[in-house]
Amino acid sequence: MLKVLCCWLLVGLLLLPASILCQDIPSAAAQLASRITERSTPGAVSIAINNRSSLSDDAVTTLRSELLQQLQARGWRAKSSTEGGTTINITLAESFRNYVWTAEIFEGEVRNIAILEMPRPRLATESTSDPVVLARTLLISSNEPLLDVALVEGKISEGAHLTALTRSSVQLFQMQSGQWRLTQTQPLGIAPGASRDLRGRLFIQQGSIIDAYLPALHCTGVITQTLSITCRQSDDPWPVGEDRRIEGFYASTRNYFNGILSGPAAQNGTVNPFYSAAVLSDRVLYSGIDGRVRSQVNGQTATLPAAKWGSNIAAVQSTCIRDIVIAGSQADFTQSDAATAYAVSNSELTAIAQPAPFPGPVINLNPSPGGQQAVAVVSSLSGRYEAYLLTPRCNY
Amino acid sequence: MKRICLLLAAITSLAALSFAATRPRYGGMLRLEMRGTFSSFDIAPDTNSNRSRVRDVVLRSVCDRLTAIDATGTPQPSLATAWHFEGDGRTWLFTLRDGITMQNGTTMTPQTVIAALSAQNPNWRFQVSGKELRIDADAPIPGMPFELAESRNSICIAGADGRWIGSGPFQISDFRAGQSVELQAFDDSWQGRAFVDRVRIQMTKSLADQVNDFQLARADAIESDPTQPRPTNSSTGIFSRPVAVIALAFTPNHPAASDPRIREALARSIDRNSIFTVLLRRQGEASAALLPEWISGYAHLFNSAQDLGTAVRLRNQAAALSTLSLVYDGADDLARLIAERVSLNARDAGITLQPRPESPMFRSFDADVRLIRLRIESPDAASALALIGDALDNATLQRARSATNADQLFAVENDALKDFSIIPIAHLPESFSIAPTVHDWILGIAGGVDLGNLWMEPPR
Repeated sequence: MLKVLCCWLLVGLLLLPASILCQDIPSAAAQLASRITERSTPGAVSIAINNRSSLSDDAVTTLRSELLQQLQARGWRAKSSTEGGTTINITLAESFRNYVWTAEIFEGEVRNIAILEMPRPRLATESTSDPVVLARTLLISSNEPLLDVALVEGKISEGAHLTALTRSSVQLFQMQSGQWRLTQTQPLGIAPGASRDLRGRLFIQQGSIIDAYLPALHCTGVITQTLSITCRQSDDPWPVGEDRRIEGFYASTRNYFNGILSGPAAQNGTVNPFYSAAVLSDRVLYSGIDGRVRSQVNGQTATLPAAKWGSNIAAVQSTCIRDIVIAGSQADFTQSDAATAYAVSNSELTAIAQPAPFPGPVINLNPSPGGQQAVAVVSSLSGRYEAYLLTPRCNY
Repeated sequence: MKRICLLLAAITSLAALSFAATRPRYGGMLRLEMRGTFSSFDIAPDTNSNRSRVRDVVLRSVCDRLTAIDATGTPQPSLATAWHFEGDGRTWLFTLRDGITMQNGTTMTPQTVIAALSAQNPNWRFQVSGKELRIDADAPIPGMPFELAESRNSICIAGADGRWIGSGPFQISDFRAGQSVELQAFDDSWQGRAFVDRVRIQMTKSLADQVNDFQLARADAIESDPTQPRPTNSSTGIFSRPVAVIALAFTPNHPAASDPRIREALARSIDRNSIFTVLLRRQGEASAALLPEWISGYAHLFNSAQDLGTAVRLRNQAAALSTLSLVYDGADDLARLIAERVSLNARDAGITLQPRPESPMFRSFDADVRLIRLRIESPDAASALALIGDALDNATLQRARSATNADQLFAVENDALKDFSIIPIAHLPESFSIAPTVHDWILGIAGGVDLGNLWMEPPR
């Protein structure tokens, strides 16, 4: 009985800040709609919302719906694709004290600005002394198994692109009216090597050149407004970090890298077989298939006994802590996973953020181009596949 | 049974003792090396961030202020225990703390506070009633508690040779202009004695020399910079949020860049993204705003993208242009790299910029454009913008002091930037590398170093 009561109390505590925020959203949406209407004459309008803040996806969805209602009530209406009119880019940002929502209202060449500030509640995850908050943003959800997902331009904004790798195709999505819409599916043409735990990697360079790696398969192509790729059977090494400093040869009939490395930072060229690696500025951590995490610095390898991590690790950077390792837990594929951010110093590991929970196991975790974010692909326990963008934000 | 219980209690006590090792220890000397230098005890705002940083480290250790900003960015009592405002915020009343002993043995009085504040704020009027100090300003200052936490509002007395005497955790025991300063723990500090006995700050040390000394264990803490690798594997890097703005500032009344189209062309030619990625190694953020996003929340509204097409068009519309001189701090390697990169970008737009280090023969006011690296001392957007205005002598930015919301602040910043006489490029964090023997090195929300609370492991 006590256990049940504690669980409910915990759930209540976790949900409390979000519910307070949800109650504030209708009035905030009304204020923003009012400020927009003060600066422009109501008419046909298209709206894009970009969330740069710690607001949850649910809160943004609620806000979008409330804002559209409030604008309609003030005489605005959605414009068709061929119609001229007003375009409003709303950015949900935040300072260390407040939510700061900005609306850029474009009427032809004229830009007007409306800004709304609201005190930022201290969320449960932020009220700790953790230096970092690991923000989690749902990118896409699919019935088809996803192997990897990548932001092409490295950002979420209107017109930006996203690619997803499945066992048989590369999919191209574009952000349209705040939603990722599937615009093209490019079949691979060749089947990858068979595996009970199929893995893949998408690698984007210069915002347009795409490489897709699957076991015994390498596809290359270009993304402009459309996607074109060519695949060939190959054992080319896969990049293991956010760039090509270290590449690893993938054991095409297994689910891991065989430990043979190439690339300018590969040091002595061989390590123990590993599932994934975190390439930091001064060392590389390998999540070995024997369950051990090894650190390699200047060719010297040492085990990190304190690292109780799962098989998925990735390195990212932030403005407050240069090198961060994001690691999944040691749960198996039958259990929900969580990603935690760590700082590494010598052989010491320090958790620097509250774990970001997922609705299922993490099946892939890779850094994004630029190395400041990572993408986790989750096989949700409800049967869908979801991709999340993980961003370490300094806990202001 | 009783014996077993006693044994268990003893084991528990021993376990507790082993964890107690993390408590701060008293004693030792911290050896800190920095690039900047100062040779006089002036506390006016400074556009040279290296000079400003070393001066702030010393000033913050020696002199307290009426308020202090905590880790959440909220003003907290310091030499003032309480405050409130009257009317529209032109009048503020501060209750002064009793029994503050200054480092010269005197007791702080309201007159001590008035003398310090009036020197920096000549337009403020002061009245004393008992322990209460009343400050009247010409315009509302909603962020007064933030302003009073800035280093320029430190409560210092000038000593015999002009050196600062305050109530902070350290007093100046030795000062060699332009070379070094030594601080000694002040036993009667109202917040308690500092943990370390002494702090020796070596000034004018290049980053390369700092790294060298750190590796040879001649320094316990040094500055770091995106241009520098981590000095040793065992060192810890400490970073603040982005708290310094790097910008180009045109020197007023220089005819060479009087055409605003030239300034706008230069602004649009800058490839901030590559400066951020390559030169800053993704530390901080590229930005066309003066205030970083974490302070204002609206920095994204200033377009930071390179637009070479427009830059070339604007350049071609302008009249013939001679070479523009661009001055940077010669002691700052990063500033040199950025100045060189900006001049390359400008050349693509048809503008010739000649980067030159500042020297006694070529002072900043001789140049058409200055590359400035300015520390933003306050997390309060209004105070921070006004402080930049003070440093750049920009009346538009100084108006921010009276702003009460983000709409007004954006309008002020937009006004100040619209003629492109100031061109922000990026925001950078403050960063230090510290030895494993140094503990509890904490950077404040705006990058300030708190030497009073750090401690050092004893030598082994």
